[in-house]
Amino acid sequence: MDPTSHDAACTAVQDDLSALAIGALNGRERAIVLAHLEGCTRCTAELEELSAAADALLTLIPEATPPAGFAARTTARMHAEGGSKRRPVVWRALAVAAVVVGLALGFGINAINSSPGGNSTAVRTSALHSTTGAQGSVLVSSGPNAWLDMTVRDAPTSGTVTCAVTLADGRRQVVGRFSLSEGYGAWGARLRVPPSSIRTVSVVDQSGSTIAWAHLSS
Amino acid sequence: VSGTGATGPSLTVVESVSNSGRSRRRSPWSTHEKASDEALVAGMAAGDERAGAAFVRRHERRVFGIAMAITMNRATAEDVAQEAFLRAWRHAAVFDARRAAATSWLSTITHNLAIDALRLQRAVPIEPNDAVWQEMDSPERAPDAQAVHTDAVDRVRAAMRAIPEDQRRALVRSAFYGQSASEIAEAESIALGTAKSRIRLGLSKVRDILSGEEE
Repeated sequence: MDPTSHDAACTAVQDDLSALAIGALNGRERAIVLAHLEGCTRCTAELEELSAAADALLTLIPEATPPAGFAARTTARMHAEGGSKRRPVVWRALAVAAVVVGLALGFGINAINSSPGGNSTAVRTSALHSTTGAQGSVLVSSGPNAWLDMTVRDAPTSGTVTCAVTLADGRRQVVGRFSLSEGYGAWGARLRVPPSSIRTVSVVDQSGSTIAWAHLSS
Repeated sequence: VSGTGATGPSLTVVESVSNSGRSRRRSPWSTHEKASDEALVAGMAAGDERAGAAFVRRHERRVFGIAMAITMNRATAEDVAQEAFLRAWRHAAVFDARRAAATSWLSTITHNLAIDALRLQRAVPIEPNDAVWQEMDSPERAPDAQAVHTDAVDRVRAAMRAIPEDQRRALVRSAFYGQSASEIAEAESIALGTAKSRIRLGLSKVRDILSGEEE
C-alpha cells in the first residue's frame, strides 16, 4: 500500500475510530474499522489513546452506597464459585507443580489453600441487629483459614470499635478492632476460634456498649 | 490467655493459645487492606477469597455508583454490581495490569453489565440521567456525592466542560448509556455523520486535554 492511499484510508476511518473507542459502532461498522486497524499501527495507537479517554469519562459517575449487606452477599457468591472451581484431589499435585514452575493458574493456589483432608468450607451470613439504628451484616467463613467479615453502617458513633464473638460455651472473645467513619466501617479478620462455635457477633463501642449484634445459627 | 487491653469494661478477653506460644499479634487482614488493587486481583486469580472480600469492600461504592447511575434502579443496580464483582473474580487470571488499571477494568465490566441490564429493561431510547448531568455540569461538587474527587477526576470534568454541549451530549449518550451513533442521530434528530463527527471532535478534545496537549 503506498503512503498516499494509506493516509486516505486513515482519514476515512477517523470518525469511526472515536465511535469505536466509545462503543458507538454497530457490528458492520466495527468490522470495517477493525480490518483497517490490522494493517495500521498509527490508527491502532490513536484508538488506544481515544479508548483511554473514553474510559476516563466513567470516573465522572458519582459513587453511591450500596444496600446493607452488599459486600457480604457478593463475597458469599464468590465463595460459592470458588468452591466449584476446586479441582479433584488427583489434580492437586499437578496444580502445585504448575505453581512451582510459575504458571499462574487460578486453581493452583486454591488447591494449596485447601486442607489436606479436603475439608469443605462454608459461609454463614447474618444481618446485624441494633437498637441504635446501626445496620450491616456479618459473614463467617469456616474451613482451614476461617475468617470473619463485617460491614456496619448508620452507627451512631465513629472511631474505634471492637468486634467480639460469643461462643457456644458462653465465652466471649475479641476478634479485633476497626474504625467507623461517620457511622460506616467494613472490616475483616482471621478467626482463632472454630467458626462453628460462634453464636453471636457483637460490635462494641469504646464505652463498652453494644452497638449492634448478629446471631449465627449453628 | 493474653489480653490486648483497651477492650471496654464489659468484655472479657479470651485469646486462644497459639501453637507457637508467641504472644505477638499481627492482623492477618492488614496485608489485604493495604495491598494494591493489582495485588488483590492477583490474589483473586489464585482463589484467595479474602483478597476478593477486600476488593469488594474497597470498590463497592464505585461499582454500585456506576450501576445505579445507568440503571436508576437500586435492585437492578445491586444485581449488576454483584455480577460485576463475580466477573472480576472469575476473570481475575486474565486481567493484564500492564494494559489498564484494575479500577478502570472493573468500571468497564460494571458499565457493560449496566448497559446490558438497561437494554433489557427498556425498549425506548434512553434519556441521560439527571444525576449524571448535574455531577458533570455543576461547578461545585454535589454536596451528597461522596465520590473520591481527585485531580484526575477534576481534569476529566474540566475537559467535558471545555467541549461544546452538543459534543458533550453525544459523549454522555455513548460513553454512559451505551447508545450507538445511529441511536444518537435519531434521538438528536441529526444525520449519522454529524453524530459521529460530534463524538470524534468531543473525544479528541477530551483526549488532548487529559494528555496535557491542550488546556
